[in-house]
Amino acid sequence: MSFWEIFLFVVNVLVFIYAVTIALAYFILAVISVVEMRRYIRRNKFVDYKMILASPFAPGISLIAPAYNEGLTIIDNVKSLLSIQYNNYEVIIINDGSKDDTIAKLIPAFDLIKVDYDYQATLAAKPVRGIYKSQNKAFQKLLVVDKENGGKADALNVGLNISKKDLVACIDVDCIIEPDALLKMVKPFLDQPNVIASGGVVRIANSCVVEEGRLIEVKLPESLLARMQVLEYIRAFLLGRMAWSRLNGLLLISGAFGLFKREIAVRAGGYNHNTVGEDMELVVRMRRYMHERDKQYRVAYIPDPLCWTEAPSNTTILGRQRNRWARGTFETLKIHRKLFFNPRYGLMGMVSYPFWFFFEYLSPFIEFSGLLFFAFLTVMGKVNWEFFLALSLAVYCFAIFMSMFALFAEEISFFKYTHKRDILKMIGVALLEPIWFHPRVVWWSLKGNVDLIKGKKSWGEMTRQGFVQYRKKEKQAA
Amino acid sequence: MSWFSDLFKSLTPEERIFVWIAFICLMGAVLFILFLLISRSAKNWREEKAQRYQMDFQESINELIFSEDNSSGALLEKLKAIAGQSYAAKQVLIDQIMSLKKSLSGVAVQNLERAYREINLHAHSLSKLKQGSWSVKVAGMNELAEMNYVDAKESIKPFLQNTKYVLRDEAFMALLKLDRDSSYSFLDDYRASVSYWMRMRIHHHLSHIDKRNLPDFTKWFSSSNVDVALFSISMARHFRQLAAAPALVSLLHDSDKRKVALAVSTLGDLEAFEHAEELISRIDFYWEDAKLSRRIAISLGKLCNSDSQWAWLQKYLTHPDYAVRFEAARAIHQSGKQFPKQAPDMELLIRHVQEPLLRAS
Repeated sequence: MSFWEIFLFVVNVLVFIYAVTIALAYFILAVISVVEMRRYIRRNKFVDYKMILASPFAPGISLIAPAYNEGLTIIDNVKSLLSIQYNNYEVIIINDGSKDDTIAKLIPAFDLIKVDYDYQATLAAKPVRGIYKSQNKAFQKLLVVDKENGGKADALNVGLNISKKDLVACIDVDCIIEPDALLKMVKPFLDQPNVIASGGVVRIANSCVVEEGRLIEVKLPESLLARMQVLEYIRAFLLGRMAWSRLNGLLLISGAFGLFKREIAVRAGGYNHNTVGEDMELVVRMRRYMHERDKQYRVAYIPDPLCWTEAPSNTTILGRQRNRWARGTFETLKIHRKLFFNPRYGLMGMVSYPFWFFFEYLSPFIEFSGLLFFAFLTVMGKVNWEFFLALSLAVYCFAIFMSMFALFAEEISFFKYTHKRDILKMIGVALLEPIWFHPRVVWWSLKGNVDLIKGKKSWGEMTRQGFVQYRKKEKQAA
Repeated sequence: MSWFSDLFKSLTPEERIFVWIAFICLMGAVLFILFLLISRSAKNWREEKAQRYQMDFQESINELIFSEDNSSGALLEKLKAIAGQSYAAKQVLIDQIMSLKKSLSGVAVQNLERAYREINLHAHSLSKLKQGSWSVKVAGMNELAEMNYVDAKESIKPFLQNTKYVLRDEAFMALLKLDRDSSYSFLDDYRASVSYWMRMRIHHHLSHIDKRNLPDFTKWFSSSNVDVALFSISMARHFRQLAAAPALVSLLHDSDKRKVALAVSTLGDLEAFEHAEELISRIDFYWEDAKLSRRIAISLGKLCNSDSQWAWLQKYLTHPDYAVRFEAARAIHQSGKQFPKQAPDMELLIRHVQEPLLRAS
C-alpha cells in the first residue's frame, strides 16, 4: 500500500465516522425533541395560563430591552411591550447611547421625566446618564435608562442592575412578543424551583401581518432567503433545543427572548462584554456557577412560538449575522474550554460542550476542507466518481429527511403555517436548501472565524425593514 | 430497471451503504410528506365530525339547562342515544357540558351535573383512570372534578402517591374540588412536593369558595412535609387568617429558613402588631442573612408602632446589604417618620424612596 492510498483510506474513514456520528446525533436529538414536545403539549393541555394573571404567587418579571438607534420603531415597540399579559412586571428600556433620536422620541411619547434613582452598579457597565419614569399612570410600568454606548451586553447589565424583580426577561426590542409569552415562560419556574432560565422558540415574522406591534396573521415569507431561514429556525428550535432541554444540557437561549433568575445571573457575573455571543455565554456561565457550587438546577425550554423576529432578507445582512454567530460560538467555547470533556461538569462537559465544539463549531471547517480535498482530487485526477456521487446523494437525502422531520414536528405541535400550499412551498425549500443556502452559511461561518483571528469585535450593522413600518405603509397605500 | 440493478451491483460495499442510506432517508421524507398532507385532511375531518355532534347535542342541552326534573327524561334519553354512537361522541358531549358549565350557575349547573351522571358519562371518565396513558388519566380526573362527581374520590386518591408529578398534582386538585366537607384531610398524609404552580391553582380554587369553609391552616404548619407546611403558611397569609399569628411566631425559631422567611412576611401582611417585639428579637440572630433581614425590614415597616421599635428598624439603615438598607429606608419613609442624621452616602437612597414616581418599584 502506497502512502497515498493509506492517506486516502484514513481520510475516508475519518470523514465516514464524522458523518455517521453527526447524522446519528441529529437524528436522536430530533426523536427526543418530538417525544418531549408531545409530552409538553399533553401536559399543558388543561393549563389555564390566565390564572397566573390574578395570582399573588406570580413572580415579578423585569423585561429588559436594550435599544440602539431604534428611533424608527421604538414607540410602537415599547407600546407592544407594555401591553403584554402579565400583572407583576416592569419594562426597562436601555437606550445604549443611540446616535439617532431614540431617547428624544421616548421622552414626549411616554411623558418621561428624569428621577433621582439610587443606581447601584453591581455589575460593571458604562455610566448611566439618566433614569426616566413616566408621569402618566398608564405607563407606570415603564422605566427608561439613558446610558453611554457600550454594546448589547453592557446595556443588559445595566438592566440587571436596575431590575428589582425575581426574574428578568432579556429581549430584543424590535421582536414581537406574543401577548401570553410571559405567562408561558414563567410556568417552568413555577413547576420546579430549581429552574434558573427558560427560553422559547423564536420564529420568523417576515411577510406576517403585524399591527401596532402585534402579530395578526402568520404567513410564509415571500423572499426565498427568508423562507430558508424559516426552515432552518424550525429545525434548530423544534428538533434541537427541545431535546437538549430534556437532557438538561441546553447551552443556548436565544438573545431575542430569554427569562432568567436575576439573582443567579448577577451572581454569575452578568453578561460578558468581551463576546458577541453574550446570550450563549451567559447561559453557560450560569450553568457553571450552579455546577461548581453543587446546586441542582435546570435550564428549561418552551416549544411554543413566543417571539417573532425579522430575519435578514438580503445576503449581506444575513452574512453579517452568521459571521457574528460564528465568532460568538467560538468565543464562548474558548472562554469555557475548561468544560471540554470534563466529567466534573456532567452532561454539560461530556456531551453538550463537545457537541457544540465538534458539530456546531467545527462542522463548517470540515465541510469546507471536504470541498477543498475534492477539488484537489479532481485536479489530481484521483476522484472516485461513483463514491463521490453515492456520498453526496446520501448527505443530500439525509438533509431533506431532517427538514421533513422538522416540518412534521411543526405539524403535530403548533401548526402555524395553515395553508396547504405553504407545505408545498416548504417542501420546495427543503429540496433547495442543502445546495443553495447551506453552502453560504458555511462560507459566512468560515469568514466569521477569519474575522475573529483578525480581531474583529463588532456586531456589524443590522438594518431591518421593521414590521410596524411595513404595516403602516400598507395602511397608507390603502 | 436492469440498468439500475447492474449499476448497483457494480458499486463497492461502501458505496452501496451510501445508496441505501439515501434510499431510506428519501423514503422517510416521502412518508413525512404524506403524513403532512393526510394530517391536514384528517384534522378537517375530525373538526367537522365534532361540529356535527355539537350541533346534534346543542338543542337538547339548551332545553335541559332550564328543565324541571320530571321533564328532562326524554332529553336525557336523546342525548344518551347520540352519545352512545361512539367514543368520540361521548367526548364531545362531555367537553360541551364542561364548557357550558363554566359560564353558568345555580340550577343550570345542577342540571348539567345530573345529566353527566344520568347519561352515564361519569363511567366514561372513570374508565379513563384505568387507561395506560397518563394524559388520558389526567383528562379523566379533570372531568370528574369539574362535573363534581364526588363518588370518584376513592378512585382518585391512589394517584396522590403516584411517581408522576402531573398525576399527583391533578389528583390533588381533583380531591380539593371534590372535598365537600372541606376537611382537606388528604393533606395530613400528603408526602409529595407542592410547587408554586400548585399553590397558585389551589389559591385560585379556594378564592372562589365560601371563606367560612376554609380550614384552619395552622394545623399543617408543623407538617413533616415541609412543602405542605410552606403551602399552609402561604394560604394563611393570603386568606388573612389572623388566628395564625401565635403559630407563626413560634416558626421564627424554626431551623428551616424557608419557613422562617414565610412566617416573617406573613406576620407583616397580617399586621400582627402585638408580635412586633418577637420579630425584633430575631433581628440580631438573622443579621448576617440578607434575604431574611430584608423580609424582617419590610414586615417591621408594617408592624412598628412605638419609637423604640422604629429605632430597631433604623438599625437596618446601616446593614451591609443594599437591598436591606433600601427596604428599611422605604418603610421609614412610608410611615412618615423622620430619617436619622445620615451619612452623605444615604442621601440619594433617601431621595429615591421619596420619589413618588418610583414608589411602585
